[in-house]
Amino acid sequence: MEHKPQVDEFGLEVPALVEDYSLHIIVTGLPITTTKKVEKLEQVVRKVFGKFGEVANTSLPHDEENTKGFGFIEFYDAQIVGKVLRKSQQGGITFDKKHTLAAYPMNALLDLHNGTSFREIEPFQEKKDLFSWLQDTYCRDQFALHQCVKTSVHWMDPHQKPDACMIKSQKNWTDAYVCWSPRGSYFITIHHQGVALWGGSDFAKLHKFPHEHVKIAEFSPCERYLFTITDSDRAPESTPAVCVWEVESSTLLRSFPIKKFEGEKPLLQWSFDGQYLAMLSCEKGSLSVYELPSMNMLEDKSIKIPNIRSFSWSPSDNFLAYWTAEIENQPTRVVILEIPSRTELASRTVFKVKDCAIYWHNKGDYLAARMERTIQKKTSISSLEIFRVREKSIPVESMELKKTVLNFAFENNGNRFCILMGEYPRPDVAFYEISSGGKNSEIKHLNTIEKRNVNAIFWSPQGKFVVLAAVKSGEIEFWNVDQMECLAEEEHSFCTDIVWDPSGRYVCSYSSCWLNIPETVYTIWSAVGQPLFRENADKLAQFIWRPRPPTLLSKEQQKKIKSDLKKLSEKYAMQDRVLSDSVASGLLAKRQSLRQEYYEWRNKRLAVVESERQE
Amino acid sequence: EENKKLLARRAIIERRKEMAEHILLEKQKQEEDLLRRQLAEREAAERKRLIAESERREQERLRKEKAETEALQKQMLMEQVEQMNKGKKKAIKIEDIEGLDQSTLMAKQREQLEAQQEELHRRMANTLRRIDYLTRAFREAEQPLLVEQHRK
Amino acid sequence: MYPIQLKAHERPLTWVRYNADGDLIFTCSKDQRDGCMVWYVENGERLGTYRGHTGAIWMCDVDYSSTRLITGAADNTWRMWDVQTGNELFVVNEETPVRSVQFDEGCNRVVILTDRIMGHKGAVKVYNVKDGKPSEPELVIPLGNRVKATMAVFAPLNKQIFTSHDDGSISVWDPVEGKLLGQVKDHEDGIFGMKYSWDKLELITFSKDCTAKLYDASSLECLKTYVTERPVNAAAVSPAHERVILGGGQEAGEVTTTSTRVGKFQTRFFHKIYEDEIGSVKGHFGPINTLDFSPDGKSFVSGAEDGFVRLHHFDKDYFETKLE
Repeated sequence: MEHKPQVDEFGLEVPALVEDYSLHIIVTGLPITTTKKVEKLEQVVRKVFGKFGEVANTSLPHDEENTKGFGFIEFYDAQIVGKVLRKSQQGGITFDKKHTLAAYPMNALLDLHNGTSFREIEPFQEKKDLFSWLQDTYCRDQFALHQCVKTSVHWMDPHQKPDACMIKSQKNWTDAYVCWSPRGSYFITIHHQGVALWGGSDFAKLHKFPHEHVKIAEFSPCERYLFTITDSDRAPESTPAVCVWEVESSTLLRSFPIKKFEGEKPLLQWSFDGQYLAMLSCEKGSLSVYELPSMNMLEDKSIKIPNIRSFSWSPSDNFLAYWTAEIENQPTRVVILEIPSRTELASRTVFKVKDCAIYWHNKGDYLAARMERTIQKKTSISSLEIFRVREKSIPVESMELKKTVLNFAFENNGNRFCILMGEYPRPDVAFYEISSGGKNSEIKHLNTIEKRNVNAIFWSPQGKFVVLAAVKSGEIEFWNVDQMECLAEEEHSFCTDIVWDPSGRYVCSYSSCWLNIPETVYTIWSAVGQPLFRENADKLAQFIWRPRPPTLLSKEQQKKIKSDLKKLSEKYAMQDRVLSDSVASGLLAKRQSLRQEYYEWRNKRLAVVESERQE
Repeated sequence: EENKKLLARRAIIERRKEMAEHILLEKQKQEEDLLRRQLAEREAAERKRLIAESERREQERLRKEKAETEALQKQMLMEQVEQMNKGKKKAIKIEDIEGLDQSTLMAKQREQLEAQQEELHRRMANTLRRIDYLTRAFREAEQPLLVEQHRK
Repeated sequence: MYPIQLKAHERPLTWVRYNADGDLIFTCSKDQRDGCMVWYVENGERLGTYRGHTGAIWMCDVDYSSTRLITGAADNTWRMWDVQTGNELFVVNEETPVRSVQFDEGCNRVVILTDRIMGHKGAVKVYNVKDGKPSEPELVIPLGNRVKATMAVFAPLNKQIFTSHDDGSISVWDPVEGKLLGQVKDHEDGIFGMKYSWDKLELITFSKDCTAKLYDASSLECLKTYVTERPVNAAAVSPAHERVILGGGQEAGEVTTTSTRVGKFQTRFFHKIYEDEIGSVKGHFGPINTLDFSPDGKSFVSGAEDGFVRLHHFDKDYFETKLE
């Protein structure tokens, strides 16, 4: 990824006192250091630019903690300025092994001030545009299709084929894969040189984050920050293993060298509000929590947790759940920790645990730990520990199950959960309800459906509906859990993924070529299992729905809309009729012309053949 | 002469005796005949009665059997009807069962199944419509709020 | 729709076809002995077997009056049979297996294609069979080092000869001189074979590139493309409705690894003009190798890798439903 000026915030920084800027340049790409070291940095800068000619002045902006990664330099001679700028254009100015600088004439900034812009996108425009997709007249959802060489974004329109409502399609848009930011503002493409962000109604390029051989890019849920992780097997030693960025300004907040991880794969997770970033090292048994945006470690020391195996932030609070494995008669523990106080809010110890997995409820109301335990040498049982996070002192209930629990999933926005237990390929599917607190609090068994050919659970984002599927084989069952009735039993051969749209109106099942599925097909179903579209997409790798930001409507507003729905229904029904009619008439017209064309050809040909035969 | 007379008388007496004997014999024979005839008649009547009796019994048995199967069928029908009525609003009345046979019941059952399917489809369509409209209503209400949020 | 399953072949089917009257079906298979059979369309009853070949029979053709049948086989021969008696009328020996056989319009000549195998380069040959067994071919087109040919047929009105090839192209030859007149290439991968519509206005090709294409049979202009996600082994054009049928499936070797349910061994229906997939008919346990429509369009027949031939008569519904 080539260096380009990232000057979003510059407009604010321009000092208005100097009148002639022809001897001034802006330098970007400087290393970011702590403010204490700013003088040292200044020395190095003077040395580097001193090679071109005498430096008059330098200014390296910084805040209380860090330098900003760019600076201003004044020279005595315009010729030297020209030399520096030329060198910058010819591949950059080498600062040190890791840093290559770019220089720009200060006058360019002035021009910007005077209205002649040298950048592609106006910042205000850009910001507003990021949300234009949420203003769709028909309130539709979007999805991206990544087909290895071709990537496209479409509207989900029940009246038309996806191809008919394509928003953008581009060849080689990404080198590896694509994803959406958590609120759907950005479309993320992964390249050998780094990460690029796209957005707005035309999916223009908005930001670039250079990080060689980047493998993972993950936004904080608030979309203000981003961390990128390199593929340590391929990246050179000098490449940082992890980079943490501020998105809006495209600045690197902090990076971690590869050797910090000693071959271990870095494990990072954002807290729900993006205030913290937690980094786990299993080998060292330590959990480091960094505060944003300073990226300083909380209390300057990491939390020592011997034998920690994995952790997970609550999706709604600054609570951290983790579990530690059994060692030397120290039992397995599942703990909920409050950050930044580091108070243990709740914990559970269990003996003889072979394996554990923790699951947060999507609203953070519950935490479940699924444990596999050995009682005798060979027999293993399962237990579920359910933490009621919203209740006083977080009570924990334990459920012992005779059969092995293979899979677990909380209902979104609800208080039920679904488990698969027994043995593949035909486990039992059981549903439980966590009844609300007080004296009668209990975990109520709702139903068990015996021996279903499924291996995965997909709750609707709205709850109530669940899709049970046999991934990689193809059975798909649609259930309404309120009525406990199976709505449809369908099939999608070799389906590898099942994804709900954010509204819970549609489900897509697809087979990805990443799993060597020869024929990659995607099917879009209604929430109750009616197939709406089936499409053969050559070399399909990903089908991803565009996420949406959390609703801005208050509970009261939502309630009001619900009660007024009847009135609105007529409007929507009418809208749908008009839409489907126009689509149908368009299709009809197209078909009529196709047919006419065909029969014109046929009749002509028939006449020719007849006359030739008679000869 | 006397002797002649005597002889003649004897002969007469002899003849009378013979005649009497003959008559007696005849009479006996007649009686025997009658008796035999009566016996045969009785036997025939008895046989007839027996046959009639067995026929009657056979018929009785058949009737009973038929009644039994009918009862069984009816019971089965009842069970079926009960099964079909389970959880339905539009139940088939028990009184209607008289005169129902298997095939009409089957047709009814099919009808019911179809209705059930239709009901499920209708219900699903309603649910879907509700989810869709609600989503759209929420999003539409949200749109001005979004604009406001980003003006800030 | 009700299917009649015709079970007599032991090995994979290679070719099925109706006669022009539409009352008989001829089926060819890889069976060593009973490779070619004939059946009644009405009830699926077997009429007889044409016995004599000693290798897989690749293809057959029957003349317009349903009196003579020709078959080409892997035993390096092609033969002519009396349809009614089942007697072999004659046998012609070739150097390599006979891939395809076809009567010309008028049924006086036969065009055959010999395989390129082990040193032999394969050729298209035209024989005149008007007066019984021909001694020498009328025309030989050596195929040389050109891409392997898969089928050879006479163009409508015998104006040309078409050969389909393993690289997705169709070559056009002069039927007298044997000169190469031209070539079209629309498929991206090998063409398995070609089939005319009954009116011979259209030619449908089926290919490894997962598509079937409808050509103008005279100009070889590609009119339509039907896209699937698997190699298309067979296709046929409905003479009565705007439909084409496609058959295919996995490679034969892959079949055993998956259950039949996920194998997709259906006959798939496409709209001839709009190119949309309309529906499918399941039933086979292996990939479909060959398909044919009856001349009246009221039934179709499919032959598969599983050794079964399925004969489907359409319901009245089929003719009534209009998807437009």
